[in-house]
This record gives sequence, C-alpha cells and structure tokens, in this order.
Amino acid sequence: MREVVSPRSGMATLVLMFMGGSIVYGIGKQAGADTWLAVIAAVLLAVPMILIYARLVDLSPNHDVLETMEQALGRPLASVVVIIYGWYALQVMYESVSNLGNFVVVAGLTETPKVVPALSLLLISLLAAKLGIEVLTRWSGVLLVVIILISVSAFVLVLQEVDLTNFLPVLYNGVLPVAVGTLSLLEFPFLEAVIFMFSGAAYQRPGGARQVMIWGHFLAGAVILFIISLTIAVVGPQIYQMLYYPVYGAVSRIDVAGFLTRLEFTVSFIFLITTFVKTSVCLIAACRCVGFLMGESNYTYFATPLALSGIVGTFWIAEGTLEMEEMALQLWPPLELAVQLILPAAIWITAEIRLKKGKEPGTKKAPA
Amino acid sequence: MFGAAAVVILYVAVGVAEVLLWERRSARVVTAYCVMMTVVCVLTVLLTLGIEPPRLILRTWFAGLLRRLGIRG
Repeated sequence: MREVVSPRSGMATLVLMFMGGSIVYGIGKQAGADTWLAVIAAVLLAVPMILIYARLVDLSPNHDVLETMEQALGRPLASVVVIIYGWYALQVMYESVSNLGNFVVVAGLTETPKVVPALSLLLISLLAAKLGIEVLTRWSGVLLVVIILISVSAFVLVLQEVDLTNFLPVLYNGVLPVAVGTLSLLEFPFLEAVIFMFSGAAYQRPGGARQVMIWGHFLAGAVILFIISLTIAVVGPQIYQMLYYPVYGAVSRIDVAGFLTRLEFTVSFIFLITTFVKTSVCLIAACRCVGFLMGESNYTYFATPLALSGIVGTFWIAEGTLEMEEMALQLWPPLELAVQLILPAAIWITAEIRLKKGKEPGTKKAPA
Repeated sequence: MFGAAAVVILYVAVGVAEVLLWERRSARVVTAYCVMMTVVCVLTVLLTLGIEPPRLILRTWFAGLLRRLGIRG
C-alpha cells in the first residue's frame, strides 16, 4: 500500500511523535540545570542517523523501506531485521500506552484502573491505523498548530514565574552529566524516529523523506528545548529532577489574578494527543512489519491483534511509574542500540553498495 | 471468571467479524491472524483472572536457553 503524504503533514507527525511522552517526563534530567545544553547536543548528534533513516526511505523511490531492505539484504536476512523492528515498534507502543496509563492514574484519576486509559488509547490508535498513515499525518498537521498555540499561551501565562538564574551556573557539575543526559536524550526521544521509517509514508518528490525527517527533527528539537527550558526556569533544576512530571508541575503554577488557574489540563491534552500519534505510528509500523513477513500488502489486517496486545503489553513492559522512569533514563539498552544505530548504518551501507551494483548496466538485477 | 468469559466471547466475535469483512482472504493470512488473536486472547484472559504475564519465568527461561546455547552475557 503506497500512501503519499505531504511534507508538511509528515513533519507534523514526526514532531508530535517526538513529543509523545518526552515533554511530560523530565527527560535528560541527569544534566540538571544544563538540560538545555544536553537537548541541543542531542539534536545535533542525532542528525547523521536521521539522515541515514531518511536515505533508506529515499533510496528506492518506487519501493518502501521494507522492499528496499529485501532488495539489499535478501528475503531471509530482511525477515530477521523486520522481526526485530516489528518487536521494537511494539515495545515503544507498549511504553507509550503505559506512560499514559501511569500519568492518568498518578496525575488525576487515582482510583481508575490503568487498563481503562490504556484500552481507550489503543482503540483510537487502532482506528487511526485502520485509516492509514495518510489520514494520521493530515490530522497531525492540524493538531500541531493547536499544540504549539497552547504551548505559547502557557509560556505567556507562566512568564511571571520564570527565573533565569535557575540555569546558572552553567556546567557547574562538569561535562559528564551533560554527556549522560545527551546520550539518554538520543535514545529517547530523538532516535525513535527510526520507527517513522517503517510507517510507509511515501513522498511525491525525490528526497522528500530527507526534507520531512530533518526539518521535523529540528522543529521537534526546538519545541522540546522550549518546553524543557521553560520548565526548568519555572520549577528549578532540583525540582525538575525530583518530579515525575515536571512540566505538569510548572503549568500548575499558572495563576492569573486568582482567576485563571488549574491549567494543568492543557498538559494532559498535549500529552494525550502526542501519545496518540506516537502509539498510532508505532502500531502502523508493527503492522507493516507483520504484513511484510506474511507477504500481505494490506497491513491493516493485522492491526486488531497487535493493538489488543497492548492491553497485556503495558503490564509486561513495566509495573509502575518508577520502573517507567528508570527505563526512560537508561542509556541505550542493547535492543535500542541495535535498532537505532547499528542496524540502520549496516543496512544503509549494504543497500548503497548492492542497489548501486544492481543499477549499473550489464549487472544482474537485485532479487525482488 | 465472568470477566474472562466475556473477554473470550468478545475476542472471538471481533475476530470472526473482522475476517468476514476482509476484501480477500488467504489461508496464510487468516491463520496468522487467528494465531495472533488466540495468543493475545489467552494473555488477556490470564490478566483478567489476575495472573499478570510472568515476566520472571520468561526471563529465566530465555536466560537458560541462552546458557544452553553457550551464549553468556
């Protein structure tokens, strides 16, 4: 199934996907007051890998990344790689759903069973996956504007609480915490863009994926930098490190003349929207991987069992907020290291060599 | 128990209805779909009965398998 998306919509989806989870959790908190430096470093260091992901999508304009991988690696090896990526996409989906469940239970509806928000999110994500990436990207294009408007409004309202001395002194604890924060931020959220590669979004112009992924990456980096810096400026680095949901804590301080208060729901809204987009993209990617393995072009056939597996998956992946936070702050567990760095680089090099050979006149065409 | 029975009925109903609504059906895809739905249904039923998926048992099993294969981490 070839689904053509406009660059603007693709970018919006990528931005919302990056924001899913990352803006509510205190990401990169290892760096303390220098988290803003860690975000900038992570955005810049992720660029080469983002370019590799984009190149893999652009390499063969008439084929999606799964077919390109099959041409480059052969069916058996491509199948193994697809199983790994399918599992990774599912795992990220379970994490997102679990994040939302924990957030709802901790921040608001304390008596609600975790399965209720998880099931609601999975059902709307299932609907989105059934409708396809094209619909999801168009929807994201509209919602991104709303989310940026809400973020800017919150910034204006919280301005009186901002204390820029919270950023000082710069690099007080040295470079090491910033380096650790940077690596943690690379793993989550910036290199999770690898999943977007498998969403099957096709672009009208050659090189469309590069435009979408690189600009989406920078825009997401800018939004995350803005939100995280603002949070640290409001709550201070110590509280930023202590709270599970520091952005929620920062927005809860908004108080305009005792009249406009309790605006935390805006954070909940942003979290819900971004988590929905991330879950849907992960579900679509996992469905496409299963579809590839089964030789079925209509990936939506597998959406229901994979979405429903999320009910159990959320309980598998972590048992609570504490474990989720610990996972979010981990530095590249083996699976993430393989799927975000090693495999894309290896596939890209192999694909460049083998597909170039296949294009040369007089050479045998690569197996389809 | 009632919850577990409801889950099974719901999963069977959804599974059958969805397969009937497909535009085309191949044996391979239908089999894969049924296997996936069955696995998910069994795990959900266990969860409904209060038996959370035994992560520790699975981890130990995988660790034992790796050790038997001679892969040490």
